[in-house]
Amino acid sequence: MPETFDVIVVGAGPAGASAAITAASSGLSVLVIERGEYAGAKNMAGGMLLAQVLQELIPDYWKEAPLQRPVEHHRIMMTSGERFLEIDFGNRGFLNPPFNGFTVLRQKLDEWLVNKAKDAGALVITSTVVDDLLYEGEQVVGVKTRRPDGDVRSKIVILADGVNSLLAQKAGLRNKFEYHDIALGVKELIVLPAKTINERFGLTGEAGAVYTVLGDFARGIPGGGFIYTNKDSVSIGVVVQPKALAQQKVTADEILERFKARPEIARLIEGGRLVEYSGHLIPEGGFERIPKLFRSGLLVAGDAAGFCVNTGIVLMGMNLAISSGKSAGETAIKACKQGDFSASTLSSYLKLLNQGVVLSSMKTHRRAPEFMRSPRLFDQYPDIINNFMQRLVTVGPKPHESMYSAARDEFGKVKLFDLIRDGWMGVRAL
Amino acid sequence: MTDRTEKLLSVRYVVSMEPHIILDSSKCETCEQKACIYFCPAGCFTEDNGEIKYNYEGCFECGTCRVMCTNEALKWDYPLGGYGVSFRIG
Repeated sequence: MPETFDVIVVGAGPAGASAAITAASSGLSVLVIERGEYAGAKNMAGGMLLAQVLQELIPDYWKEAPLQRPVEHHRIMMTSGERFLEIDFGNRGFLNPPFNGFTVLRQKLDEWLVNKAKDAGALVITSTVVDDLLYEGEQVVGVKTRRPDGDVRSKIVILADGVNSLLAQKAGLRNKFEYHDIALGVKELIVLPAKTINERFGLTGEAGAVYTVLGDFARGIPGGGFIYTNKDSVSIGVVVQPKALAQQKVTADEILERFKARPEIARLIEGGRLVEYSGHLIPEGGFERIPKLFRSGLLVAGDAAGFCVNTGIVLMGMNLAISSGKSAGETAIKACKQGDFSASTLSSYLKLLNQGVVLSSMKTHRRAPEFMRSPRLFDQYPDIINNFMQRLVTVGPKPHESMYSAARDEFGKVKLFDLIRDGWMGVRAL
Repeated sequence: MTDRTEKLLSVRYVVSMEPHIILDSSKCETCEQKACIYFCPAGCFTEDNGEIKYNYEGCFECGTCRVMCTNEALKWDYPLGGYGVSFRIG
C-alpha cells in the first residue's frame, strides 16, 4: 500500500466505481472506501439505468453487465377513481445496441462495477466509514476514517458518498438541505415468474416495461408511482415529498398500498412474493441546488453532487453518477499529470460535466423541480384528463358532444392563469 | 393490506450495539407536528403516551429525518462501518 494514494474515492456506488475505473485504468493508485459491508449495501433504485453512458466506460457493457431487461415500453398512467389513462410508447429499437434503458437491481450492478475498478487496479475496502477529510491549509490531502490510525493520505479525494454526503457539508461545499431538495422513494421487490410478467405486461422475451403513474392514490401529495419489470421480479414503489406526508398525516407505505390496491395495478403483481422492501432519498433539488463541485484536492460526483433529473417521464440518476464519476476520474488524471491539485486545475471538471450529459441535462431541465411541485399536476390534471377521455368515449341516447366542447369544459375547470402557467412551465422544464 | 412491520422483516440489518442516530426526545415535547411518525419510511419513530421513541435498529439510513426534523432533536451519523441496513437486492 502506498503511503499516499493518487486518488481516494469515498463511496463504492456507480459514481465512485466509475471514478475508480477511470483513474485506475490510467495507472493511478486508487483507494475506494465504502461504509457498507459490500458495495451497494446502502443502495436501492427504482430502477432504470439509462445505460448508454456505460459504453464510454466499459465497451459493449451489455454483454457482461448484470442488467435485468432492456426497456422497450415507457408507459405513463394517470388514475382517477375507477378510471385510468395509459400512454404506451414502445420502441423495438431499444432492444438492440446501443440500447437506452435497462431495468437493474443495485446490489448486482454495484458489485459488478466495483469489481471492474478492482480489475483496473483499484484497492477497495468496505465496512469503513470516512468521518472527515484531512487538510493542509485549504488543500484536501486525504481522509479520516473511523478506524484506529485511520488517516489515509492522497493527492486528490473524490466524494461519491451519496445523497446525504455529510462530507460535502463538512467540507463547506454545500448548505443543509431544504425540504424540497429531497424526495423519498420506497419500493417493494416482488418475485413473479418471467412468463407471468410477460403475459401481464404484454412483453415478449427479455423486453421490459417501465411505468410512471400519477393520480389520486397519492392523495394530492407531490409524487407518483413507478413499476419496473425485471427478469423474474417486479419493482414497484412510490416517490413522494416527505413534507407533504407529514402535512397529510400519511406514510409513504400507505401511499404505496393505495397504489398497489388499484385494480389495474393489483392485477400486475397478484400472487407475487415480496422479497425485499427498501427506501432511499433522491436529490431532486435540480440545477439551482447543485453544491460547489470542487475545491483544492477535492471533487464531488453522483448523488453527493445532487446530480438528478426527474422530468416525470424519465428519472436520471445512475447515469449521471456514472458520467460524473468518469469525469471526476479524468480530472484526477489530468491533475496528477500536471502535479497540480489546486482548485483552478480541478475546475476543468466543470468543463467535462458540461460537455457530457450531466450539467447539460441539469441545465436543460432546471425548471423541472418547480414544475414537478405544482399541486395540480398530481391532483387536478389526472382527474381532468380522465373526465375528458370519459366524455369522448361515452355515447348515450342524447347528442354526443364534440371533442372541443369536452376539452373546453374540462380544462376550463383550471384557472386560466394556472393552466397557462403550468403549460408554459411544463414545456420549458421538460 | 400488507402491514409495513411485516414488509420490514424482508430487510437485512447488521445491528450495531451503538446507535448511529440519537434522539433528544425532550425536544419533541414542544413539537406539534410530530412529522417523523409519517415521513420515516421504516417507521422508526413512534409515539407512546405523547412521547416520541426512536428505534435505530430498523433504520434505512435514508436521511429523511436528518432533513425534515426541524426541531434539531437528532444527532445523525452513519453507523459504524459494515453495520446498519444491508440491502440484499436493491
